[in-house]
Amino acid sequence: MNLELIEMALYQAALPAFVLGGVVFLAHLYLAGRSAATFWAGWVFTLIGVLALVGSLTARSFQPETPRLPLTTMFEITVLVQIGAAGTLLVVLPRAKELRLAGPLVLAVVAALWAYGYSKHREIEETLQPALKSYWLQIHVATAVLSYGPLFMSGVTSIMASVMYLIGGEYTKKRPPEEEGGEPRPSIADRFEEWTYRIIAFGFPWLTALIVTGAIWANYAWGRAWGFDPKEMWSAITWFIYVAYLHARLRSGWRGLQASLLAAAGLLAMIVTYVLVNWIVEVFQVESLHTYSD
Amino acid sequence: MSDSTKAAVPEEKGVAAQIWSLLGSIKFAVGILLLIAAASAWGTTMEMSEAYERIWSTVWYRALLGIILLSAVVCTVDRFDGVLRRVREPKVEVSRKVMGSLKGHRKKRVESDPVLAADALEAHLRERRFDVRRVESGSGEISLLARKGVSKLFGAAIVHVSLVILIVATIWGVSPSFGSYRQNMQVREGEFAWERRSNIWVGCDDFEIIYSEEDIDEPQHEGVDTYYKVSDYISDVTFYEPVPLSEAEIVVEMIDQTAEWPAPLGVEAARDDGGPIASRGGELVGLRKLSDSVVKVNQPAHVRDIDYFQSAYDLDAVRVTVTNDRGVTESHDIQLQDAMDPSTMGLPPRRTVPLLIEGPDPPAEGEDAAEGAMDQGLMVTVMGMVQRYEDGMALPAGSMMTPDPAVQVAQITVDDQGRVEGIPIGWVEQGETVAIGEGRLTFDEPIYYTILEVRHQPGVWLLMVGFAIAGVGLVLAFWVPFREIRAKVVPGRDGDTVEAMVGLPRSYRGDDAGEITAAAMKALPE
Repeated sequence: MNLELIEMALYQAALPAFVLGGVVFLAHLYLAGRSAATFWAGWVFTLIGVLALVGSLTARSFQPETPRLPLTTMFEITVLVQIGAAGTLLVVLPRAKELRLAGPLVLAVVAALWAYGYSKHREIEETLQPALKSYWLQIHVATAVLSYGPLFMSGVTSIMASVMYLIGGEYTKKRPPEEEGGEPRPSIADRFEEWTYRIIAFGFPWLTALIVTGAIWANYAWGRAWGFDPKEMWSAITWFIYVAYLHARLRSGWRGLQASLLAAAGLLAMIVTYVLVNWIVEVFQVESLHTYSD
Repeated sequence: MSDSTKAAVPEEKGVAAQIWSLLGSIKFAVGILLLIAAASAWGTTMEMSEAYERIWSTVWYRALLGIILLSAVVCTVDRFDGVLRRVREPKVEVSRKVMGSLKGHRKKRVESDPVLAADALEAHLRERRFDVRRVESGSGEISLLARKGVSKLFGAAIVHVSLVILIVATIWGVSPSFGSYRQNMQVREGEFAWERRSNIWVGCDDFEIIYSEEDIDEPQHEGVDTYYKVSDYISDVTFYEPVPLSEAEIVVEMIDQTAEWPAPLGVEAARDDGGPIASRGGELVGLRKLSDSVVKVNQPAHVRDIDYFQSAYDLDAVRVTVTNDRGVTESHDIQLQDAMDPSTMGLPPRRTVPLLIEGPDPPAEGEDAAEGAMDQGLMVTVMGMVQRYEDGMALPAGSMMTPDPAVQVAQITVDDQGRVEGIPIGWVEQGETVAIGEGRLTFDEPIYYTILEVRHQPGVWLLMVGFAIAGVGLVLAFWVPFREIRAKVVPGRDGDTVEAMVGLPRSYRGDDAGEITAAAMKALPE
């Protein structure tokens, strides 16, 4: 059994599953949400995509050259982030009907991540860099998936909410109550904004844990917990922006467009931390201890 | 953090109160947070040292961090009293008007006694694990406040407290003024280095770089299908404590100065018990073993409150065996870090040390051996070492094609006028012997320095406590659901019926408010 072929076949199978999922979600929206079957068909395609990615990583784990869990290269991390983002979609969409509008867009982002991951696919590295030989690697990466996956989805919903607030009209009008005599329902934009907060509230503690575990690990590996490395600083910047968002929303009453734009800024900072920081290091010729993952 | 100032602030708005109010303002805190984020982003576009000088170590950047910390403290102080009151003495009784404005509110008139109706609602809520508070008014109205997940209210305060702990622990763990310190320690293989703070001697028994082979399907170099990667840096170290020399019974032996040139200078000491001896500032110290340890990246050693991390390494010397034309064999550690030797003038700028192969007779008494060697004769020079070498070619670091080291050797002639001429001989791989004139040279091994990062971090345990508290606070603040249900039973004027009302706070975000209140209504007696 050629595990390398299985790994790649499963990885390639994930893309059509996500694309089909997105298309079916679009059909579901076109039918104005009347057909529950179309929603569940889209959900199942997304699940198939997630399972294909899990299978691909599993096949990679069991290849004889792999000396450990495949959690170190940019390809492997990107697969995990795709699983995290699509997994969040699977959990959230059945609970929030209004959010189904986000289904195709989140899957488009997952597909973009898939393409990025594909471009970063490398053979398995038999030898880990000395710094990566630590049980903290597994803990650190697990927190990365649990934070980055949901935060990617919250980024998409925050951008969608921002656009809705800017367009206004039906998107920002309160909707009629579900039952007669009941209270009017919040506008669709408000629901997106509300769910953006809820997803961030789930991902933020994991983001904090991601930074903390990274610092503890760095202390063991390099003898210092914080080195002002560009990757470390951008993870702190991302954290600062989400802290600002949470305080503004919870205590200062920021809602609507303001809060959505701040949440979208969090996504931007996260993308820089995740992908673009290596580019910054290259362009500005800055030293970084974290470029090994590229 | 809150926008309002409360009891902790003096009533008169003096400067102190205004500063307090500003520090407690969320908008101010959000502004500062975004300012820190922007400054940090700017810093990442600079060279590390420049960023440190222009941003990370500047007063204004540290002041911003300090302000955020103060803001967290002020906010916690400001709000904590309110949180405590909300937890301990919540307002149970609310008016009918307030009940009518609650989310998912429902009311129902049933034939029942007010106490029985309230009992039924209370039982229903307790069944769902709510903590229920009940207040009966003089007019016979019964108010119920059911809550669960109250600990969530402490979440934000706990996170803020943890921030203060983390900052204190960081300052304690980093600032030398508070007992912490860090330094780099270089220990040459086979030698000792003194760690001043703990008065411990660290001996490096061996330093090794482990390479692993990587099979590459698409090689980037023609004909090369195996690459090498560093798998580990391993320092075998032994920790010693100094012992008085009187206990060590030192035997000091001068090395025979009449040995074949160049004779090593200095003294060699040995203890009759065979224990190690180190030298500090010319003074000899006996050493008693405490422990030994393998230090690797991700595997520091911890001895007497000091952590030793594998930080780096450096090449100190190459060990070669030279057999000269008289058949005398000597082993030499050639210091590659020595200053330029006059005998290397005119040669490429490498760190070199001359070795005699053919040369003058042994120096006469009173004559400096080196001078004699410089006058005339033939020497070899090790011009340098590369750690990666293959097929007659030195490879740049990072090429990963081979881990085999090699030294470059040159033959040096010094004529009667003292003019030096160097002729490169070529590369000699580890374990290889090259013949030079009547003599030969063997490259035995490289001698490394292991470089350990030595740290005393008294604040680490507090840092871990801070992290743990932050974790608890974050879980409470974001993941523990806080539920609150209000119910009110009002006796009807007819005396036979009661009006029951149930509702959730306006801030409730769930979609199921209506379902929750409907279920509570079903619990009422029919």
